Amino acid sequence: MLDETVIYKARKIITMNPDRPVATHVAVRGGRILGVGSLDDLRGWSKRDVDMTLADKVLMPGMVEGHSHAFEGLVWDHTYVGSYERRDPDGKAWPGVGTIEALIARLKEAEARLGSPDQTLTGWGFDPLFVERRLTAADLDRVSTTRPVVVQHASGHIINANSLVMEKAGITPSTNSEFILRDSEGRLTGEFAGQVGRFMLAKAIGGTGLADLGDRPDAVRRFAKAAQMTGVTTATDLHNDLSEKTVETFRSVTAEDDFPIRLVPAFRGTHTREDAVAYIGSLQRYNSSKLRFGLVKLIADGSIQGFTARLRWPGYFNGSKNGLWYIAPDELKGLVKRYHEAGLQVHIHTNGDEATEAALDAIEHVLADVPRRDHRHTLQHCQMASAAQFRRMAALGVCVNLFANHIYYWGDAHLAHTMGPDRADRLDACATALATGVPFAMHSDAPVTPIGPLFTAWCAVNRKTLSGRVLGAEQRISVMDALRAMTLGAAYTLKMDADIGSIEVGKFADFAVLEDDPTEVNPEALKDVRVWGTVVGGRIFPAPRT
Amino acid sequence: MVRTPVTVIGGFLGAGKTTLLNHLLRHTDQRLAVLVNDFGEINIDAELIASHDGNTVNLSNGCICCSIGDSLVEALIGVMQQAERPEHIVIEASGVADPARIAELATLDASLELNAVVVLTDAPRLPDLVRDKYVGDVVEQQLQSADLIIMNKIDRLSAIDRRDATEVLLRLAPDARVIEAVNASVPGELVLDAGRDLDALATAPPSSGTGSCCHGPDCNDPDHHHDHHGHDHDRRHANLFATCTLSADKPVPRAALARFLDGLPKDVLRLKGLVLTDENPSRPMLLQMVGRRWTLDADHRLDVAPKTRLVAIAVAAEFDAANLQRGFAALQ
Ligand SMILES: [Zn+2]
Repeated sequence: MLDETVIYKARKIITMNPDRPVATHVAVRGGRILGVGSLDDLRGWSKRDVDMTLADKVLMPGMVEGHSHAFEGLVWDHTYVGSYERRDPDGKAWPGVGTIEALIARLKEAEARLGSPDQTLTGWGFDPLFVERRLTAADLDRVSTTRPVVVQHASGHIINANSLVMEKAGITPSTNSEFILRDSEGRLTGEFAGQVGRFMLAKAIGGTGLADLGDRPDAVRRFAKAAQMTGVTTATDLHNDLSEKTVETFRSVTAEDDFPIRLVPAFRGTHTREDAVAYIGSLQRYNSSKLRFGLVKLIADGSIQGFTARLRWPGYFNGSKNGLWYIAPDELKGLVKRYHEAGLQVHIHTNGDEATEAALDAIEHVLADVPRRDHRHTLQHCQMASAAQFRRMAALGVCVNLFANHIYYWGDAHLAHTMGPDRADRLDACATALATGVPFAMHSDAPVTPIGPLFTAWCAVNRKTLSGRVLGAEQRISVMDALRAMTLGAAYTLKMDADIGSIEVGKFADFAVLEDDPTEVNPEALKDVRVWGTVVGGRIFPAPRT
Repeated sequence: MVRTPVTVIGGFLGAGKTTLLNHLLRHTDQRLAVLVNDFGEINIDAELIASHDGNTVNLSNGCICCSIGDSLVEALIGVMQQAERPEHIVIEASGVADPARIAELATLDASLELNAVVVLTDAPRLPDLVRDKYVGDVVEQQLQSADLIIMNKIDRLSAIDRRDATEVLLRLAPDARVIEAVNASVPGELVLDAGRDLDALATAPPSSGTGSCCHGPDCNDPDHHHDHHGHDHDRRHANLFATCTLSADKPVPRAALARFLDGLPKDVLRLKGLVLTDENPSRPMLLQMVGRRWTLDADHRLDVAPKTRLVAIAVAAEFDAANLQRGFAALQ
């Protein structure tokens, strides 16, 4: 059936192809686009009846999520207790919890559904800033005293535990560590930071409580669904060991006809296997239209809100000492060189501007040794880059994928605590990327923030924070520029722009199918544009209705 | 409960951590568990390897060497759960880590006890590293976290450069104890607990270089230039360290002992032995000091006579043993 020619009529087609920016019809054959235009333009390909399934919809190129994690499919094993509404991959909306009571109620409900009596109950996405007081072990003891109860904070650095977990881990009031949080009277609150929290969990419940993606094809499908229902047709899993087991799971799941996205995993470049380059080469033999190996991911520093990103002078606004290198700058040079020489594309996580500088130094150094055109090495997050750093990116042929969702979720915190007004104004500087000609994309880093390209675009267009203020008005970009970043822009950073990112002859027939026209709605309502579903390789995937 | 001592070996990339770990693994008389970042670098002699299974190498001398992989926490717990618990756990910090952060883990578990944070530094590169725009603060923090600093590769320094490196250390870590070393070769007794025999330190002083200093002719450590340095470096050890014993007839007031230990001259690198305090004049406590860190343990299982006897190891150059002995005797 896919080999037949189908002409779809749409209310409007936004193509991202400057030769024909808008159209009403698209012809598809064998999963690829045959032509775009008016019905007359396409009649040369087929005389058959026009397919009217999408006749009242607006089509865009399928959205490309250039930085997400398939781990999104695993977090829904556990109970969401974040501060804002979030939809699970079945389309069910989970309202934010705003009080400790609401959190306890949510966990109690989940507790009642758990099977075996000693299974750990885990809540995730908790943000202590949005409840009236600190969450304590006594609160979680109300959920259960007989099974371990753990709440992971959205920051990723802190956990809360009930008394049973502390007891099992051997934590007592006399255990002395600055990472065990205490109240003003010095009592344990049941909050634990960093590796101390991980140590406690490992002792109490034998690990983090999270499954291995390689064992969980259902979680990979769930991730794909979470992406698909927001209009995404290609998504990255941007940091993965790619063990044989995971590779096998990715291969079998993406081979399923109804798997609704193209999956682009990135290999963890600091993997200790000595044959890393050869291993990636062996994986590339498995590449298909739905699965593409070849990206390498490196992580240079930590996170800004966790005060572990590496910042240049003047450092953190609240005086915190500088963050952590995950890879020393000299080592980064060696790693970039290893993959660059092999012709691979490297995506480097740099949150702080000092990490960005080190990554640019590394790329510049490697390019001087081994010149290579069109490498498209990409800086991921790159949230604090200055205009001068963007000019260096342009000169070096480096792309950037900016974390626009941060403006909304953490913009207020960046202004008040992490970087202060000057640098918060240029947080995720999309306008500078445009002005300097650096090819750019924008992302959600799901599950860190919810996947949703229209929301991400809305963040870049409006730059509104959670509190409602505009952060850095000069960095706002137009709706069209934002939508291009979420499609062709992201495709370019993955070196997939020949196949995806625009509705154009020869490319995959990947569409985001919308109820509303994002270029006609009020820009402030961009995030509310309704997604009907997607088309991937000519196959229609309606989103779950709620 | 018998606590397992934990030693964290830190230092920036290239400081010689792996070389030191190799020394410790080859010349120890204890069952060590060594947690390393990368097996590839540790380069254990094939004849030493008894078996290899996944992330763990079992050595024929009873030691084990484990790859930290993605999670130090899990590797550490794995070692703690071994059927035969190791006598000492040594953790290699990554080159960019603050070893004090890793040492935190030893305070979280009642069955662990921090022995020391030992930080190696590449002496010839030190003045440049602390000025480096990217990692200067990291190197500085590592030095400040050290109980004992091993100033490595001093054979590659001119007299002037040596003064510069020493000045940097004095400025950044004024309280740390410092040992100079070639090829990260320091007597194991200085770094780890000397093991079962309390008298080992006194009867076989490190100046004799028992095994810890050099590998001998079969050494295949790539970093080890026997042809050039072998003899030099034996002689250096012979002259570098001095030992002395401290004793007292009467119990020592605990508070005065603490003041004495905190005020020890910087050339005293190591102190170990039994001490009777006024808190329990019939049963001595076990005193351990590595670098500037000391612990007094009343719960040890040692079967010993009620008397005070400590062995000190110091940098020989300006060490005044008689003065130290007088100071200790005055505590009674
Ligand atoms: Zn990420």
